[in-house]
Amino acid sequence: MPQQKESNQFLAALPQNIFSGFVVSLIALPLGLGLALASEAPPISGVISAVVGGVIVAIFGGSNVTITGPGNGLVVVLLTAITTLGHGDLQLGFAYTLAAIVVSGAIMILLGFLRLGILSDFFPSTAIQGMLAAIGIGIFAKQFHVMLGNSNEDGGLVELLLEIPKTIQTFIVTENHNFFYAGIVGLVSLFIMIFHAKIRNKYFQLIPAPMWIVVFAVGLSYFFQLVLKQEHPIDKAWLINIPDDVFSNLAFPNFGKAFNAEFITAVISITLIASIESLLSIKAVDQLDPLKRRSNVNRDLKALGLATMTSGFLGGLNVVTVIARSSVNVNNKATNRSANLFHALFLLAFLILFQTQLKMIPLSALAAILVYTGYKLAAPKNILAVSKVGYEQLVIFFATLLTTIFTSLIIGILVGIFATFVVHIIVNKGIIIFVRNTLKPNVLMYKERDGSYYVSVKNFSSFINFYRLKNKLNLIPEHENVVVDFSRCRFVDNTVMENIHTYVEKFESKQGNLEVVGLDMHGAGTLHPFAPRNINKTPQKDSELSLTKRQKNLAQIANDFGWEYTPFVTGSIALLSDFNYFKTRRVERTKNLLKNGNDKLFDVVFTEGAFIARQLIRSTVFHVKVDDPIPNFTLDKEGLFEYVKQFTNFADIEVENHPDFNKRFYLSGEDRQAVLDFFTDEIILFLESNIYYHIESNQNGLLIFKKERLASVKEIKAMIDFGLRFEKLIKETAYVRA
Amino acid sequence: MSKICEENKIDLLILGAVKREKLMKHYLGSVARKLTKKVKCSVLLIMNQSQKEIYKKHIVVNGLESEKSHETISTAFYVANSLSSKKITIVEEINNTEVKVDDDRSLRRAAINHERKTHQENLRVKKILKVIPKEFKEPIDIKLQGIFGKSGYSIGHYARVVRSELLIMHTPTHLNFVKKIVANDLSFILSELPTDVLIIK
Repeated sequence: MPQQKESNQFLAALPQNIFSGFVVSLIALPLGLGLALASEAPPISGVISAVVGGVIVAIFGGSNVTITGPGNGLVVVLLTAITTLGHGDLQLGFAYTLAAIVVSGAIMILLGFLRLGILSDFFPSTAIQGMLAAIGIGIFAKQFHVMLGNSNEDGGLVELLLEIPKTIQTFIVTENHNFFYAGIVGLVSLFIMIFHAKIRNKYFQLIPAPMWIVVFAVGLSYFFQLVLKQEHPIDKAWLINIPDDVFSNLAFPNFGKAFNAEFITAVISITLIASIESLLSIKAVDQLDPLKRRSNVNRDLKALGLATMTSGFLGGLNVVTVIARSSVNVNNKATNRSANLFHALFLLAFLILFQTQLKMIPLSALAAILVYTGYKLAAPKNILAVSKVGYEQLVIFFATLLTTIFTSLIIGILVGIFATFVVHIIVNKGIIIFVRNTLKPNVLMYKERDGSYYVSVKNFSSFINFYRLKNKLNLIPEHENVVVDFSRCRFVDNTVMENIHTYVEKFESKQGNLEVVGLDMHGAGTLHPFAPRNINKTPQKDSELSLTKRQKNLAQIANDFGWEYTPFVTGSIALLSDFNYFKTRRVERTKNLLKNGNDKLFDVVFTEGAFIARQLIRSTVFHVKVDDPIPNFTLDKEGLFEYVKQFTNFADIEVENHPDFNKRFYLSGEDRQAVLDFFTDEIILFLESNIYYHIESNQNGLLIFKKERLASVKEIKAMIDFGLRFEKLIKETAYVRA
Repeated sequence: MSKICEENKIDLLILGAVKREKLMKHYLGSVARKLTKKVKCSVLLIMNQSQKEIYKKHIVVNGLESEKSHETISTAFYVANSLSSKKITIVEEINNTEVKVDDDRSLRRAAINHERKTHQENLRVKKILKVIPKEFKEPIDIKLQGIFGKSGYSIGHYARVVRSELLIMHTPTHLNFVKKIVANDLSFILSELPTDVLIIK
């Protein structure tokens, strides 16, 4: 039965998946052609990659709404491979590169089987940003010339950048009408790319920007042919070149250089970038998935590898998971992998049906699409975003960016990782914390008695050992409650902060709850939520700067319920010392005070024991002030804080007729009769039916807390609720008694 | 010292230790560490030296499955009674490596597998507990706790988180060659003492 239900659902969702696949194929066609051109490969190879990828990954893949095809990250790598392997002969270079693509596909399959999907976690996020920016600049520098009609510009990245003014000048003064018209088409296309998103028209938005460019270019050509009855103003050399019979003109890999150092470098960089791009995209698309499914990363890697191998044998580029096309897929309400399959089939149909029309597209139009994507990758906005996390991040960013531009991608990303590590050492004023703790397992997770998960991280948590934390978090179903405690951690870097944030969102979307506690003591350099946290830095008092997420949430609670919130309390709150529990403990400081009239909820940091045995404990307590005096008593879960007894002359009190209460709670107090009078049936029923709290009273106040650790925001809300209801009940019973 | 121990058939060796060794010592190996590894008898490493009577409220015991676990747990109860401790937590490290979590389905499988294993472990420990005489168990609050973590090491982390005063564990038995060199459980614990540790051999 469930099988049938599933297939029914599949059929019901089929129309929207077909539609979504169609829309995506509209983008994939110009992008596939453009990305291949930018890599100096035959334009058709990009489309082959998308078709093969769509079919194979849709069948064997492990993700749900991703779209696969040629990726923009690979443009620079493939370009380098084709030019260096062929030594100037692009055709030969392409054949060698195809062989490299096939090998890299095999390596990706291997990575999938070895479950190395976690490898992407070892790349610090800022270094990846730097690498992406470098790729963007690479694409931009080359395609800018093509966009303005100058497709002869060649050379290294730096030269290409320096030549840009010259190309602009040539474009303006040129006599060659080919140059001029191609440039005009390029510029118009660029305008379409930029302003497409800004025009809010339902019908205009239906066709994605790249397709509008194709429509414009083809339309222009027909306009010249049919209306003006003229030759096409742009010469064949400036138009896209697709063989008349696509299927008989496939290129095949040439393994002649298989053991050459250049070849091996090409294979490594292709595999590296293809895996990183795919893994990052899969992770990002999982966030977009409206059904919030978890992708099987390793299975997807295997499928991508298989697709890449097949595509390479048929003369196509790498198959990777691509974020832009996938997000269009999600926006058009795709629900499963069939959308990827239909995108491939539509592409194939376009290729067969519109061959003549495709040949009318000028290169400059496709280049405009790439200039836009290149700019998006390297936009100054991105640099600004990085600098907001912390100025030290800019060092990492530019180290990666510049090395990638001047050397190669592999060296670039390695330098990025190294630079991140060096920055961490400088920020922590020493290498010892890393040397000592890198190899040690630093994450402890267990299920608490109430069923929530508690994860404690110690020493430090950065991109080097984030996989340990991640492995643990991955074991928790997203509908559970989780508390991640960093209070034993001296340093948490931005890669971890960012990744934890994605977990928070993941749990939220499945009605679970993941909260980060214990970072209040850590200082941060900037306001950014992902700024690295360091225990050596003290948070600036009374400034909005370095408020943690938890503190902001507390402020929010205060706002919602009309309470007062003070994140940094100067001096400790005197009322604590009246309570038995704190008679033997020294309060170091109190923080995060939530105040409503006479009721106060706050975090308290206190010490227990002395000298070497001294331990720092953090807890969240709720103090409720009562109007009528109540007897002194301590109420506990049986056996939890029982040792309080030995410091006081309190005796265990058994309440008559309530054996269950006596079994579950440990009640003690000085004045036996007064306490017994206080514990009426209503109060006992209330206590029995709610979750356990440690409750202590001293004449005019109640102290309520639960665990000897900081409470999460959710727990705080439960605590407030409990406290206020208890207070009300006490008032009522006092009233009845009076 | 290890010779003397062997010659005189000594049962328990008490050593003072520092909480965290200096970097140099960490790699050269301090005396305490060497001794702990070498001697044949049980070792009590004391971190919080004090002349006053030590009062240990909460004892964490390693309940990891091995032929020694029975001995370890019963020793823990003996110690707990002689130190009049209030609470014993028996920690089971639940290894969940056979089900790999890739997607939602395998996650569900892993969760079920984990529940089953926790149950099995609890049964196993309870069987051991049954044998322990009642008068030993009576005054003590017994808690079973399963943790996810690196076997033999995360228990130290746990002991610190719950602020127990004494950690009781047995020496790991089955170790393969590589693990012995790179990541001996014992040396992990010893390099970063969470609390006082009693190692049973």
